[in-house]
Amino acid sequence: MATLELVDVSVTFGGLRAVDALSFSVADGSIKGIIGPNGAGKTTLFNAISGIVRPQAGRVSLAGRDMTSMPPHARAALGLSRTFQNLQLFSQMSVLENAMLGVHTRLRSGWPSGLFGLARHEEQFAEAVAYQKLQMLGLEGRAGELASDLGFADAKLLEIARALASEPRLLLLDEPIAGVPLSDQDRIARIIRDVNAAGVTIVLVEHNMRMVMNLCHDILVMNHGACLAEGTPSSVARNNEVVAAYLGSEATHA
Amino acid sequence: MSAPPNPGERRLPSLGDAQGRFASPCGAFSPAAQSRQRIRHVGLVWLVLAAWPFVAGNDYVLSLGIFFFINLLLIAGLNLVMGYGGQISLCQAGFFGLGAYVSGSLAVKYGVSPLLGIVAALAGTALAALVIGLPALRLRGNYLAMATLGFNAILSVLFNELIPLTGGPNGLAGIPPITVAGYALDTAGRFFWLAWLAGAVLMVLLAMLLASRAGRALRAVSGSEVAAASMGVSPFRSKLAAFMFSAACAGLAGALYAHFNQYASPETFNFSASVLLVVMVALGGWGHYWGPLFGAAVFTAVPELLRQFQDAEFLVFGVSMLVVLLFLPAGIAGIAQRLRERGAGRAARRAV
Repeated sequence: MATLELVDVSVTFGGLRAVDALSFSVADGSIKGIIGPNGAGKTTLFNAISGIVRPQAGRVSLAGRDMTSMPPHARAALGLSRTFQNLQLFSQMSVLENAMLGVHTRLRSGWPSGLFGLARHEEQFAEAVAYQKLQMLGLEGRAGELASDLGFADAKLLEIARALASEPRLLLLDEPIAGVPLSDQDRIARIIRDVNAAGVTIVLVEHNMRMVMNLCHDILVMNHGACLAEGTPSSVARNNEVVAAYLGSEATHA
Repeated sequence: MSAPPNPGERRLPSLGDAQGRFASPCGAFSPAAQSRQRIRHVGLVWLVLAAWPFVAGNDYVLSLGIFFFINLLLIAGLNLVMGYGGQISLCQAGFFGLGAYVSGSLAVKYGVSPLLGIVAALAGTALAALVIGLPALRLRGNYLAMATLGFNAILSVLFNELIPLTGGPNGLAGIPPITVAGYALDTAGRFFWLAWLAGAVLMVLLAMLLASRAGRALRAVSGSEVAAASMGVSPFRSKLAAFMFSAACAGLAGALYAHFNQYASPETFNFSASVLLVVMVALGGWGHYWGPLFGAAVFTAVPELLRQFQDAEFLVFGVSMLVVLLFLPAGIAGIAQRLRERGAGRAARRAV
């Protein structure tokens, strides 16, 4: 069964069709890569999947459950988790607390038990999970610092730790290694592979072709909000249209 | 740093064998440990504050101590919404008045016991906050500021015009004191301890809240609403709960005020008082746990010090607001923290 399924999803901003009648599905336990030139609509697509923007048309479902009209927090409760390309950390909270936010959907306590300190077990659980994820990304030594004190690369790692702390069913990663030093890139790729091996379905937006080709089971190429090609890494790499749209635009950038 | 397994202490999903036990690996960084430390510090500070009746000398100075705790309830409640929740509320004085008139009028006009009146004040203000917050907090952005601005104006009109209930512009006189088990808290010396206790309880509740799932969610929403929602937090519910809690703090403050003062009049609760309370949150230290203590101290002391100069406190507060906004975004609590850190740094260097 498909973990994620999109049917004819369209998102428009004024006159601009950022996502144009896009349909695709992500198989259980797979890693799907989404590539395309800047402005192809990749981040808008992520926002439509996670509920931050409402598509004007189409349907988005997670594990067979239609979540098109659900707000983002309800989608998170269904097992969806994501990172942000432009970093959305809670800057006035500690690194540990940021990661603890990732555990939010796995806890139940509310205001009354919060005020009266009645959820010790849950808190200890949240701390332990958060710390474990920080260790996984090599951030445990900075647990007590403010998130705003992290450098760009560490902030990216913290976004991943926070997203993993929810033990998601589906993980959306928006350019996880952009701006990260080479030494950390391989580690992040390894973590993504391990997380996937543990059963998490992943959708990955990334410009680093080597990473996409190595990690992804299949790839969707977007251009102008629509699907240009879809298939295995090798078939996509051989596709002439893709080479023209993608390498062509790369060439003009260089 | 994985802790040894200790099964049977847990109902939550497994972390894997190596992480069975929940001992915090995070030491002093653990929010729970920070919260415990804050509560210990509250204990110490409140022990010191307990000396006030013995050094006050007369009832007037003693009553300033009472007003300090009442102001603390107002400002600490507001700090939760504004400092931690990132929402601006311009109706804290209105809720203060609502609490005062609900409990005061029930006692004066219907003979309801003040203790029941306090419960009614808490419920009434929280309910009013629910009614305003439901539409205003659904939208992203600062609609709460506009809605609360309007609501404070409406409340002021009601306090003035509902003369049979509130006494109108002449005020509501003859409010009975709180009686606990036949013991009337009718002097400043007696009432002080109730106000002292209320302030301590609120500070402890806030310390626990801030280190809980609900408190974390609230702070996350003000940090990044989009990210908080993506982590499963409902920004709407989180902000609404904080707003209701803060209104209830003001409701309690109002009820205590009415029964201590045994009189309430509308101008205490007008819009400009709400603005001043916002200034006190900023002056004490926006989103800083200890900030409201400083804010309440300033708010209590400055008008008394400037008593012979009519309305001079508005000028002083206005200028200090500018100074805070321009030079001291973390307020007095921020200065105190910086001094402490510098002291700790010097001590560490001396130790080396």
